[in-house]
Amino acid sequence: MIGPRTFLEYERYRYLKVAVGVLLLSLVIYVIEDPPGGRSGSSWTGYGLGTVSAATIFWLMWLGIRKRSYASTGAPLKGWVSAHVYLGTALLLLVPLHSAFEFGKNVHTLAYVLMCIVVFSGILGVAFYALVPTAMTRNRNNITLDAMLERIAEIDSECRLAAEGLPDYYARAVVTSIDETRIGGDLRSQLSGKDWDCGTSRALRSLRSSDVDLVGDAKAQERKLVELIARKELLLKQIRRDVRFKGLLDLWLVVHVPFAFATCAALLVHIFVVFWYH
Amino acid sequence: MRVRLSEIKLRPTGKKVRLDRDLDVESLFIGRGPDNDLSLKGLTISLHQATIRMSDGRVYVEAAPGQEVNVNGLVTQGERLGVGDKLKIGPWEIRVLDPGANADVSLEYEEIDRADSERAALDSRTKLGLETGLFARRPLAWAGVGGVLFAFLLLPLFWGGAQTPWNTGPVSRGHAYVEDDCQVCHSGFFRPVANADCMTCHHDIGRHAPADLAVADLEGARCADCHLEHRGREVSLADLGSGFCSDCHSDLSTRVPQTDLANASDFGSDHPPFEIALVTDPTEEAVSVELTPERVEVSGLEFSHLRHVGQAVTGRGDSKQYLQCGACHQPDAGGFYMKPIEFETHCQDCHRLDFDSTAPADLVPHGDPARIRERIRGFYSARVLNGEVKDAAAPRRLRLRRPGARLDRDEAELSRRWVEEKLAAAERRFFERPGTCDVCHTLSPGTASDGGMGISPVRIQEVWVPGSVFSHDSHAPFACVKCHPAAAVFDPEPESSLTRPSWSQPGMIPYELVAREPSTPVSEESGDILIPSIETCRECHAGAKASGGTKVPSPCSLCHPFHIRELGPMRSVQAEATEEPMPDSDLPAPSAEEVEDEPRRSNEASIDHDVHRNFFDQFNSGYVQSAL
Repeated sequence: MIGPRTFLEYERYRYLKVAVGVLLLSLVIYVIEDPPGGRSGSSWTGYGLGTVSAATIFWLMWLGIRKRSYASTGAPLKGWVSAHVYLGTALLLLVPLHSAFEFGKNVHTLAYVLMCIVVFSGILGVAFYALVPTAMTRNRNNITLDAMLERIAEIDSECRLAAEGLPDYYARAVVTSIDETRIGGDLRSQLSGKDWDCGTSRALRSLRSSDVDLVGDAKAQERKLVELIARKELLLKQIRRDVRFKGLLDLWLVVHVPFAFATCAALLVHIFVVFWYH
Repeated sequence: MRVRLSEIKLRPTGKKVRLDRDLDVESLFIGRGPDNDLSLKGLTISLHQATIRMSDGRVYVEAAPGQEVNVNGLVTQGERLGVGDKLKIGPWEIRVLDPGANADVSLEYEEIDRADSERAALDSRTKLGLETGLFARRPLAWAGVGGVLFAFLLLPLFWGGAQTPWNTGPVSRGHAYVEDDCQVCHSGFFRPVANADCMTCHHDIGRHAPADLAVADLEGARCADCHLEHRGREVSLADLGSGFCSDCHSDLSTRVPQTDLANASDFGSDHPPFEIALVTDPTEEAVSVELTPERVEVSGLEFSHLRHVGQAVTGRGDSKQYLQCGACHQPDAGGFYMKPIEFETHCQDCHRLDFDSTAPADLVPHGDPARIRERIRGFYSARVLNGEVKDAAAPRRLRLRRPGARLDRDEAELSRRWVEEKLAAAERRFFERPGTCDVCHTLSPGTASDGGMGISPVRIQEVWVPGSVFSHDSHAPFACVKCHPAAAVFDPEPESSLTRPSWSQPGMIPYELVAREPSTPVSEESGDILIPSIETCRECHAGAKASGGTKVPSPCSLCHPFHIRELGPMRSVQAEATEEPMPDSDLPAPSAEEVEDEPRRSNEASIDHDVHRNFFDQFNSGYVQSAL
């Protein structure tokens, strides 16, 4: 766990302590205050916690801008991410304290639900960053994805050469292996890390089950072809695992960012409505 | 067959070059294999794909067995070729040219579907990255923001029907019927619900403290400060928590120095003794005094409970029965207090006000002696006029009168005198003979409205502890004597076989027949006060915070309403505080007298509207107010 540690343990968990402190303080205020009519979002504690929560949410959104401003001389990005993670997670409890644990089928609870999706996708992101890069590095084995793709291309042209003098059956297998092998694709294919209908695998199967009897030079060519395509299949598995890892590292962001914006929209509606109808 | 083959090649520089070669073959074999005359690269081509041969000066193309050829876009097994025809084999295009004189067939071939490098081809089949098309962060974010703003802001702004998601939660049961009509309460944009909004319906909700007390915490307070809505259908708006009253009332003397209310924070441990509305002079209003054993009521009426309860009497229908509490004390319709005692209903069966032995059914009205005299004069005058004078002592002329005949002057004088004699006799019977009016009343000569014998004023206090609400109904399982021990009903004939009504009989005020012992307290004097003290209540009731014990936890609101209607409607406080024009301001405000006349009240606690609705209805009917 190298990646996330740099920001999770930033300055000896400074922002974890801040987040826990804020939560404890809010909890104490929440428990102590006993407003007439009972605790609710519209008590002074409720307004206070709501203001803090909303301010936190808008500040968390600021990370999207801060991470792009490379010229910033303020706190290091690591610190920002650290605070982002801990304060964002704290919102899971801070917001229910604001609403005094009142939920319903309305736009106010929608804002909280969207926020929860954002927070949990963020937690998932941290988890992915903790687990995926190690596995990814191990899988790559010091080769970049580009080099792997280059190697596939080489194998493809070697296959073409090898199949040149072989019967049509072999030529067709090679064409299948080249033309019907796809890498990546839609979300499902990328995240599954597999292709159940991979042209190369089909080609390999058909080559291995070939009952054509070849002799001499052709026999050697055939053996070379099978070996090439088997190597290609292994390489494809490696590439697809890599694509899967990359997908996992991206997936949470595809949820995190749009839902964060949707949360802000719902939050604005929430604030608008409660101050209109309060 | 002489064949000229021309290959069009693409140089890396982008230039096309033409390479010619001439062959002389029987047939021209075309295929992937190197043994063909025209060997074409491309794995989609068969080892031997097609043959071109000549026959009778005509050129034909024939597909190898099991293969096909594409001639001018049509797939075929064989075809005659002419100049200008195009064959397509794999990525190659073979064009038939004019052979000229030196050849029989001239073919030009070129790799037209030239695959890019293997890598470029692979890249074209490779799709990486999750963010494709609309499934990218930016479009998704816009969609999310747009969707939320449209569905939950724009749409509801222009179409009220879509405002349901704005509702923070179900409103309480009493307000459920206006739940979908936000503007009923939320009348202004970006303005909190105003008291005026509440008072559109709750226009006569009572103040908590008298206006002249000017309690800072109450002036300008919003209804919604205490009554929080949208917290669920079954949540009571009046349930404000146990500390709500004691926040102020535990040290009320310092918070509101001008009040004469004592501090109170808990019924069981910190509550002043009861204050009662006590009549000490029947000509004056009741005064609020602390309830002590020494207190004596002076109502102007003589009455002894001891001489009544437990008496076996012959009631209507000649059934012998005991006089028990319920013979006179019947709860009102709401079950809170007892109906007023009325002479005609409760006393007259035994204490008959007849005045003429020849007409025992004719009774004088109970009340003003002037009206009694009127009634008696009227009775005897009617006898004269109707010729019904049977009295042997009456003048002969009156006795012999025909009914309906005009009275002459003498007769009128005779009649007047006779009627006055009869009246005097009746007055003697009522006012001078012991055991009639003076049983209960003090006679007061010359005070009647006609200047005759009068009755000293009487004032009966109906509600003895006006600072609280007490429900007799809630205490119905207990016999009266449990709380009013001096009203014990003694069994007058313990050995007799009289049918004793059961105290659990429907409609019967519960009572117990107790055997009289010397220590049993009895109420013999009319001044006795039978209202129980706070200690009696505390035998069963503990403070609000009591739990786990055997006593009833009793919050302030069990007995004390927060909004006290007799103090006037709350809006007057609000109008002063917010200077907002209030709706319904033309409703009559309570007069200063009304407010002044209120007995001192122990103002505390919220009120459960449901429980106390009956009580307020009584206020509306004027019954309680008339009693105060």
